[in-house]
Amino acid sequence: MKQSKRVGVVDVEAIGIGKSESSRASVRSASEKKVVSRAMALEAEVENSADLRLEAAARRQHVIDHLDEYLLAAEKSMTDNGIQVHWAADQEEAQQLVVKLCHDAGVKRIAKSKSMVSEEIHLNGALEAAGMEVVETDLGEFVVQLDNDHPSHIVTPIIHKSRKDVAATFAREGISEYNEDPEALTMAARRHLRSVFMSADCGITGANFIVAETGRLVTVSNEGNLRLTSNTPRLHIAMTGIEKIVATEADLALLLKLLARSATGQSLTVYTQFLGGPRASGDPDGPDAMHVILLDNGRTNLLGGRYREMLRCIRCGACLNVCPVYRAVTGHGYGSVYPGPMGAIFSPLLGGEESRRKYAYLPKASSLCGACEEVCPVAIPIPKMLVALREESMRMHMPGPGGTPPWAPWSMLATSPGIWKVALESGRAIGWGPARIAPVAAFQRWLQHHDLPAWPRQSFRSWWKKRDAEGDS
Amino acid sequence: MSKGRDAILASIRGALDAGRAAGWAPPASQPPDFHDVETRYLDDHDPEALRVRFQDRLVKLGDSVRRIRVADVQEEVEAFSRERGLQSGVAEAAAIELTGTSARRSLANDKTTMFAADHALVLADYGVAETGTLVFVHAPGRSRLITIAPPLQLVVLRASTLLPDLVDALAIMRDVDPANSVAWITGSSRTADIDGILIRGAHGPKELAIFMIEDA
Repeated sequence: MKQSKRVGVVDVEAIGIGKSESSRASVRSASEKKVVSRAMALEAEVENSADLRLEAAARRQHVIDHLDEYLLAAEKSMTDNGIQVHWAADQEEAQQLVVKLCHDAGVKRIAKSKSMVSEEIHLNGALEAAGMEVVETDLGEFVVQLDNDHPSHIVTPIIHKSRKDVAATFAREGISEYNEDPEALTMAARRHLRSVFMSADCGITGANFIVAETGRLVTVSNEGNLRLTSNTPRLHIAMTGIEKIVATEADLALLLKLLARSATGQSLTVYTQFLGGPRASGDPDGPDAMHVILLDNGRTNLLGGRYREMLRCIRCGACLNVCPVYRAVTGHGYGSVYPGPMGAIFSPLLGGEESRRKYAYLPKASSLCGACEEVCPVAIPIPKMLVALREESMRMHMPGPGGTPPWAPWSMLATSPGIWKVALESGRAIGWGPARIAPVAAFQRWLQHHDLPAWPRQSFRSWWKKRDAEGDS
Repeated sequence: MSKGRDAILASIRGALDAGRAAGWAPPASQPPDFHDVETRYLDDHDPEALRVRFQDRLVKLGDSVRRIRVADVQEEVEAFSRERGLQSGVAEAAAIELTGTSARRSLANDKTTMFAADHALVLADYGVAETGTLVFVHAPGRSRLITIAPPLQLVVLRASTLLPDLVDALAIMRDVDPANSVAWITGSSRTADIDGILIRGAHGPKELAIFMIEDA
């Protein structure tokens, strides 16, 4: 655990003197780069990108509107291919399933490749509690795991960290000597993780799509850890949301082209794998057994209502990269597994009533500028849904985190000009707003991932007076 | 079969029925309203145009494509292997047969050998010109790890197998047994996780050297 310097009730490091400024800057510049490469890849290379997005939306929505039929078709095709299919209604059931599968197979060590669904159900903790070792193999997730941190982006998990941070982590954990060169750091991780692939008894991955017609699992990755994770250990468990079904492989031309361009600006991800099943007799490698877990965890709540279009989402992260709020607060600012505009909708809606209350504040973290909808490869009307969620949370009386803020002191301040002036001046003098020093747990938690603007040296009124006195005109 | 299955299917049907009653979702029997959009990026069947595009894409990705005559393939692969000082590789039987080069590499395909190999010699089934993608169809008996574990890949490809677009690569899968896996490989393994700087060879191969045989 990281050591914090505390001054009274204030965690000085958490309020981010120096550190969070640089982390926000890296998020901002990385997001901007990705927005440019997406635009170049999509708008310059593909002439009719607007039509493609609408068609991709129609095909995704068709499956979602007939999800029961397509899921049953997918289940049958997968079973025919020798894949064992499991269904999990919620986080608890999914955790128990994976733990049981691993336990029954005598698994001790698990290699894991990046899976947002596994983050969603907090799988690693459950496996570790059951006495198994879990190693994340995606470079970014590996660093996140070593730091006991959380991913801050669904495609690039350590967008908030610099090479210095990674070098320090690797040195501390004995992965390599301190070296800030990204190439050296990547190679050190490669060496370390190769031994994990060789010794793991089980590989856990996500799946980007499942093809109902053929029962193949489609996975995309650039690093290649997903191919090693799914093909080296003797057991492969893939987990995905029930909405990730596509009807036929022909539909993938559209979706794969849009996914790669929207996520990273590539025309195709380096490794696209269509997994047909476990190793057949005579195959030199591939897992002996392959399991797929179809997770609901609240997705069915979205199906029939005003948020049903959200289930089209293919997790490309384009809406995060363009979002002015995401760029300012970074992924951690959302305090949820799924950040950004898509996260502001999924977080309150997935996982039931508790999530609804816990994340009721997230839909408010938007300027409703509409950039997310504009870039979405499956044309999800995100701003419309954010407004609907705000409205519902008001109706359902869901306050922000930490309960309803204590308005009484504020109302006293704001209605007494004398006290107001004194408060402003003293705030300026010590450079801290009341929120920074307030001994309110909710404020302090909030401040761990947010910054307040610095106080201006003088007020506008005093600047104006001074300007007049100096005779500027 | 877990107890979740029936519960999930029931809540899906309940939600869809409610959605249909409220007019959110279309009727169950309604056929999909799909349109033919042009997903095809490249529709060029001129063999030379396909080869140029394929080569160009891979060079842009940082890998190399040598266009060679079938009579020269043995010599080219040998010369490349000598130049790189390759010692202990793994190979696919079909690639050895096509190139006639069995020195420096073995047919062993156990995990330990795969992970220790300094290179692989493999035969791709198809190439896709649009994206510079190599297609490997995993018929029974074929290793999945051979194209991912060794750090340098010598890939033999027949130019006659080049397809214009990913649409064509997906169409081919209709003829493949659904239980067989297919891998598409587009360039060498890469990551940009640290400061957005592109690094090759994150987990998979650092380099692809493609020997494209001009067989048509």
